[in-house]
Amino acid sequence: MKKWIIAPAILVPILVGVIPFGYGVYLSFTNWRLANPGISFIGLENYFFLFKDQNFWKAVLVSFEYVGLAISIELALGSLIASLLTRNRRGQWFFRAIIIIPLTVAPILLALMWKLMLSTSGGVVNYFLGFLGIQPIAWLADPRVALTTLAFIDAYIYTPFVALILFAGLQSLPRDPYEAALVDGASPFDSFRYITWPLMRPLVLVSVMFRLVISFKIFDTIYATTGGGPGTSTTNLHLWVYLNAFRYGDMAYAMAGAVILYLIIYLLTTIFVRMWKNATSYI
Amino acid sequence: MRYFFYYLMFALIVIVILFPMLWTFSLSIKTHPDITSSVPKFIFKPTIANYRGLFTGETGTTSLPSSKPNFPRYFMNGIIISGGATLLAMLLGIPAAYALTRARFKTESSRENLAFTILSFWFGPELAIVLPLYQIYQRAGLIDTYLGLILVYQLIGIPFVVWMCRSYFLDIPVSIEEASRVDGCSVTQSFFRIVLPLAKGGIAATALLTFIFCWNSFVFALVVGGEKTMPVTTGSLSFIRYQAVLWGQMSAAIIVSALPAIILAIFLQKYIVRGLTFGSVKE
Repeated sequence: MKKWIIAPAILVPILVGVIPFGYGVYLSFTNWRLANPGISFIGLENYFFLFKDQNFWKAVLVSFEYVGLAISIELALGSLIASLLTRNRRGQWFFRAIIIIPLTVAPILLALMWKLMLSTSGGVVNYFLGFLGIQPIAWLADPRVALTTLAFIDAYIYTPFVALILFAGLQSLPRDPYEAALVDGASPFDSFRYITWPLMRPLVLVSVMFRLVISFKIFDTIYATTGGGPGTSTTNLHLWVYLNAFRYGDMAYAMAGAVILYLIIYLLTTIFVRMWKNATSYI
Repeated sequence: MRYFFYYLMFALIVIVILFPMLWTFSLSIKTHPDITSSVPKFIFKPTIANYRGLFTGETGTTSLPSSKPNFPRYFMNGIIISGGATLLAMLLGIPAAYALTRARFKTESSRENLAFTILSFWFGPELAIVLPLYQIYQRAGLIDTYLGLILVYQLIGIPFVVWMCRSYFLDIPVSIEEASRVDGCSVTQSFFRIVLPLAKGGIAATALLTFIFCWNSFVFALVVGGEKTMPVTTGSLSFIRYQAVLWGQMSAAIIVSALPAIILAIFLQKYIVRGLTFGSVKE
């Protein structure tokens, strides 16, 4: 078995991924614009602008708010669904088949479905809420609620992901330690704290890591529903990059923002991979 | 009483998951006036005009300017790009995955690092790669071509195929291959005669999931694709125009684009958790 067999699987992503990104890092030190093919080196100027740019910091904040909110909802609902699944064997096949659906359909299509339902003119969600005496809410058009709405759409798509991973973990928990703990007089809280949690921690970390990566670079669902608006209330960093590149034509400046986004994701995944390795090292 | 509570929760979750799809389906069989009525209609005369219009290009209920959404084309583009990308990713990824599990490395951690390097190609935010790639593709004449998109989709396909297949190859005991080697098989022979048949379920699931991931991807097609190569994800937005939104046809397009994934979801149950976590969580 020769190692060079791996080479093509690394060369192609290097060709279309690593080299363009490296070239992009170089371009972020230039004055490259969409309309202007002439490129000259301007050093760190784009980055200096970035750190003084309020819109950039707003986009970073929106990214973190979105990720924090979406992942909290998904972890809470995901563990609820996972524990429901373990307690009920009948109908499990059917239930699993249903919750898998949002994970296989394109996120942008699901987002568009919600856009149709959340519409302020004849949208079905406001119609139902009307029965409860709730005034129509501009889910995607009100700057105060739009980001929360998007986090819930994210939760609609990805809660099953968290639930299925946690369920897989709960299924594989050994029975013996719990019986031993019971004999030794441990409370349910104790057995959760000292048996369930250490065994489940790697899976929680894996699911959170995947969710962090995907929701930090989320683009399609926001692009299709609010386009970053109203105002800049739902412009996360990835969308900020797109708008700067193609609406304002400032490719180099956008690329500088993209480099920062890449660094954030890289840093977070490194931390999580390390935590995950630690969590699995003694199992 | 306890069971009543469980079933209530299950029913609630199933309704929340299915409702957007059923609602979108109901919109797709409504006429334009029925869709845009200020109060959502639950009783209406169904029509197949939206589906017919989707494939004939007639817009029917609303007047539209010259460039009409060309859904059959988007659908075919999606199949060509996702199919091509899947084929290439499998061709490059399967041998690499096998070599990663069986070849000799200096240390175990250098093997792990190589695997993580391949996975990290998927971590990068799409725009950080595709902005500079846009310029490279412009020079190379690859903008709005199938080849250009199939190549960049390898950033999704290869990491996924390598990690997924690796996890299936790791499940196969080395001793079986060693036995076949003693009986006179070459490495290639034992790969084709022993390993592939044993992993065929996992490999088929990998191919289908790679196809779905490519089918669902959006940002690459948005930036380096164009009119000629537009797949269903970016195409679904072309029903939204300044002049009018073709709600009915858009709903029909969403349903038709989502259907393959919904059907696959039911058959891929067994593989989906492993698939979505790139093989890191086994069931």
